[in-house]
Amino acid sequence: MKQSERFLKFDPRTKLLLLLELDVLLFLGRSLFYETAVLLFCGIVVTIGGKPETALKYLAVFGIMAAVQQIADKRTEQFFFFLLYFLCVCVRKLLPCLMLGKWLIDTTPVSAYTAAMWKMKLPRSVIVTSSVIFRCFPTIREEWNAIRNAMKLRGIGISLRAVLCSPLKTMEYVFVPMFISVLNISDELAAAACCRGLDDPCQHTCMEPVQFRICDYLVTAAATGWLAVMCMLHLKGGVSP
Amino acid sequence: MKNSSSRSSRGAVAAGVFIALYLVTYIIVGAICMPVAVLFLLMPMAVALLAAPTYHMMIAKSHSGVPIFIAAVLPSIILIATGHIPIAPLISVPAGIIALLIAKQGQYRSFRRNAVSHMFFSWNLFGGFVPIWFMRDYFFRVTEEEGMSREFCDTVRSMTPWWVLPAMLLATMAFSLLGSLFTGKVLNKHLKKAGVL
Repeated sequence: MKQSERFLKFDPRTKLLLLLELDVLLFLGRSLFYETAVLLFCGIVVTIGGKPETALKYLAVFGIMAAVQQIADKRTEQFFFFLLYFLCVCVRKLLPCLMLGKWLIDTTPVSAYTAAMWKMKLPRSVIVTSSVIFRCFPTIREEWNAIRNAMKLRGIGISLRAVLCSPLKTMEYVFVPMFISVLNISDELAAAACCRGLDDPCQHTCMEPVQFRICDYLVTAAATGWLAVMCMLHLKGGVSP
Repeated sequence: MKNSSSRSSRGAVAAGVFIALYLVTYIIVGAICMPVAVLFLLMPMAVALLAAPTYHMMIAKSHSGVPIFIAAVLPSIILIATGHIPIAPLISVPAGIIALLIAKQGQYRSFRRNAVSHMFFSWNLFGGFVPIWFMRDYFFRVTEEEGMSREFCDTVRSMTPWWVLPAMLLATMAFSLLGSLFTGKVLNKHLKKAGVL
């Protein structure tokens, strides 16, 4: 049995819906127990969806953050511990979003994502733009590191002093090379996309079947049901878990 | 037909890359400003100033209103995904539509119209701030429950009488204009020389 056949394949639309629903769900409860339950649900979905190592990694980070937060909680009057506490809470709250986002990007080829968006009858400009946005972050980071190294070689550093003393110059030094490299990237991406027939006005097809399966219905129903119950509890003014 | 379709696809790809750059600016400024009360209130102005060049480049390369709307709405979706009170789209959607309509009047080619468009576009982040005045108790309760200290909440509360909201809106427009002026004066020169614009 192939590695990929051991896991379930989810539709990109299910993944997007889960990303939104589970993030909202996380903030409808307050206790650590509730947060753990939401993250475990995300972990199970990500594991059966083909990325058990991602789930394990994020669950471990969650455990560490929760432990550090408990330690920092008693000393928040000191600024360092307050900052540590704040960071732990923020990062912990973002973990489901990051875990599902990483799973979505890692397990969804651009072609499948685009095909799913075509099925939703979205305008082409929205489909093309949205399929580019989230894949650009790693590239932007690489470009930024290269620009910073080049600046260091020329004796220009980005420091608080430089930002405060000559903000316009600093902005110029950062933006001009960044824009030029970003435009080169977009030209290359556009050329590659045009070669694949992105600008062809006829109906597009996809090698990979994009459709809802039983697993999509089950997982979406579970998350939506949970969200509905939590919303009702909140509307009735009940105690949030 | 084929040529214009190809041009619009290229524009859409470029817009995607610039929206990603805008989001990076927003996330970095947000992460720096969030823990300190004064900086927290200055965040929309800082983003308006620093994101103006990206906004102008995005319009110059795409000549379309769709990226303006997407860029306006995405930060509010990020706010919801990170647990903010989910009213952010109520501000970001109208801000995006107004910005789009103003830029459209100049066919997305008039720098002045685009600068005015960015002034209204910059209000898209106010969805995260409006609850300070309109859902005051709920906002501070939720903020404290989400990990911010009581001192932070007290400082923000003391610094936000009613007139601060219009002052912040106007200051954001002013910083957006500064960012646009910087783009016009400094960046255009370099980017035109490099053959990018």
